[in-house]
Amino acid sequence: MSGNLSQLEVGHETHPPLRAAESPVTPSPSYWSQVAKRLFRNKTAMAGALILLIFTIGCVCAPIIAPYPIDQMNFKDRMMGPGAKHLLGTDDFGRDIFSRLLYGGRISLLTGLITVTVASAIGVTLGVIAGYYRRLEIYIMQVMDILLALPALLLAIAIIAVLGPGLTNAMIAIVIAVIPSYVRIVRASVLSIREKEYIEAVRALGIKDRVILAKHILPNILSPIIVLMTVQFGGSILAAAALSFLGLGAQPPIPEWGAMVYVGKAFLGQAWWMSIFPGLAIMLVVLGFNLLGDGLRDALDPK
Amino acid sequence: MKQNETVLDIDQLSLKLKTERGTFTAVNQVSFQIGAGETVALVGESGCGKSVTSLSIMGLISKKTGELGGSIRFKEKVLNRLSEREMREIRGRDISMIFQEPMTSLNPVHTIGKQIDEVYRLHTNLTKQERRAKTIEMLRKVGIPRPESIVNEFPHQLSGGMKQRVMIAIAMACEPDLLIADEPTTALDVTIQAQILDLMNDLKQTAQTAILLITHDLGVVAEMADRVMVMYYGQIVEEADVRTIFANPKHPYTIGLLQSIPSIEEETSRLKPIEGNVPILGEVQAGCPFYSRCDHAVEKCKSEKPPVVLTGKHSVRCWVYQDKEVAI
Repeated sequence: MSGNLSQLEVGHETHPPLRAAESPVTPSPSYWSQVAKRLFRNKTAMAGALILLIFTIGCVCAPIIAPYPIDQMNFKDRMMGPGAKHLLGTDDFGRDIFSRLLYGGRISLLTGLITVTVASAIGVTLGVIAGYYRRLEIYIMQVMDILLALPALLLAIAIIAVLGPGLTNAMIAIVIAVIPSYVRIVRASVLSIREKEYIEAVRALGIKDRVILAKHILPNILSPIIVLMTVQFGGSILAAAALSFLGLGAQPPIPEWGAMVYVGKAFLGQAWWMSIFPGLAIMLVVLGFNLLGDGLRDALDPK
Repeated sequence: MKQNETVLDIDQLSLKLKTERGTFTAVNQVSFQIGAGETVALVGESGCGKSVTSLSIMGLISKKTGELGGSIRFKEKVLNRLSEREMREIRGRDISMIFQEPMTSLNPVHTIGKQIDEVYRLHTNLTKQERRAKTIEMLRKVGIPRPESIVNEFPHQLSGGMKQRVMIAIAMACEPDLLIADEPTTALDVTIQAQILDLMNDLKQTAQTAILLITHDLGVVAEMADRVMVMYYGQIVEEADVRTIFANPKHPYTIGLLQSIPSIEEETSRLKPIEGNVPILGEVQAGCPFYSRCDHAVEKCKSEKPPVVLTGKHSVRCWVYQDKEVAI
């Protein structure tokens, strides 16, 4: 009897319609966990992430995985095709291409990481300033428009022409060439957010401009920045490889992918694997970043 | 209620807005006072200069877009002479503001608690725990259920009425001396409107906050205000206490406003709207700006600026009352 009664009470307490009416707000997962959920459901984005994961693990663990030292020459096995002894073949000095690709990946991914970090830091800062402080906007945007008027790769080549060839200079050139795209996107986003009523509202609370920018505007424009950074990551790797291929970036014998494609180009008839595999590696990594970037765009902006 | 202490004293405030088409006077020699604990309504159509007046008081009109004249005295300080830094101290602590659109007035990326906490962090020296306790207490004061869990929620999880309650909590957090409410209930549905107005009245009673209520809703005015100022084309055209305005409106514009709301007592087949719109800034060069829409306009109205006619505490800016009392 008493058991029945307590059951009844419990049943009354959890009466579903009453609950629903009393709490109009049910705790829902935060914004970022929803984004993550959407991203994990996106198959192409996950494919991109998987490619990048494999490459990253390969490059990080290069010393363990690589079967040969990158500069070990072996004249007996020169230009040996892909096979059991050398997985992806050897180059004209008999160096193992697979090992060189793993180490070269470190350079490429690091190039991408550094250029994206530096370019986004500078670009976002300039974009935020241009968007929020209208006084400075015209100066910043005019410089950016001049940079944008030149094709990025041509601009990078011109910068290297001044600085001299080399991987560091190539990175500097890429950073300068991609900054305008950050500035433009960030400025446009800031312009739309700064007119929002909640920005007016926090200004009415007596919050400093700097704090408003950092804590109220920046978090609201993160999604386009994240998407751009992801896509630019691939773009920077491609640009670095292109510059190395042209002999302006990393110089042989550094196993940079673009430089490897360039070296292999001369032997395309006899040893196609010398160019094809580094080229394939570049393609796959850039593809990975683009797929992930597209997926992120959909996940961050589900409209 | 002690009402003799003047909190806000605005004297000959004028604001020239610089636009691409030229410079226009958006606020024209506006003077008024608000006493402690008093609610003053600023009424008018869209585009008559209500909101820019409030933004001027908050010092939120940048020097680049507008040029302020006259003086805005808040207690002992002249606000329009203060530096940006001194003004920031006052905003949110001594004067705060509630905005029209609760749906967009909260930052979507921060939790409710964080947004209230920000005010305390800025204007008080409380510790983190004290601030959190204050935040929850404030949410409870504005009638938010389960404040302990709401502090951790994001604005999109709240309804419009709840968001406006949060906005009020933010505005009232430091018990300001003056609260500027810019159409606080316009975006809410009617039942929620009444709740929000009640809430504002309650908070006013306990904190002795003076309220400048900006609205075009005369129902809200009747409910809330002690005194009413009617604004038209950047000027205050009529000012009186709330009973007088509703019982004995003088300015043809005020009469028009009152006629354009439906009444329960009288049965009229049609409402009488005021024809036309507020003139765009710069359109009126001379005379009374209401001339083109006024039923009582005379030749003089076209060419000469109407004077302020004062009878007791009721002032009106109209030629009709210049020498004689005319019943209209």
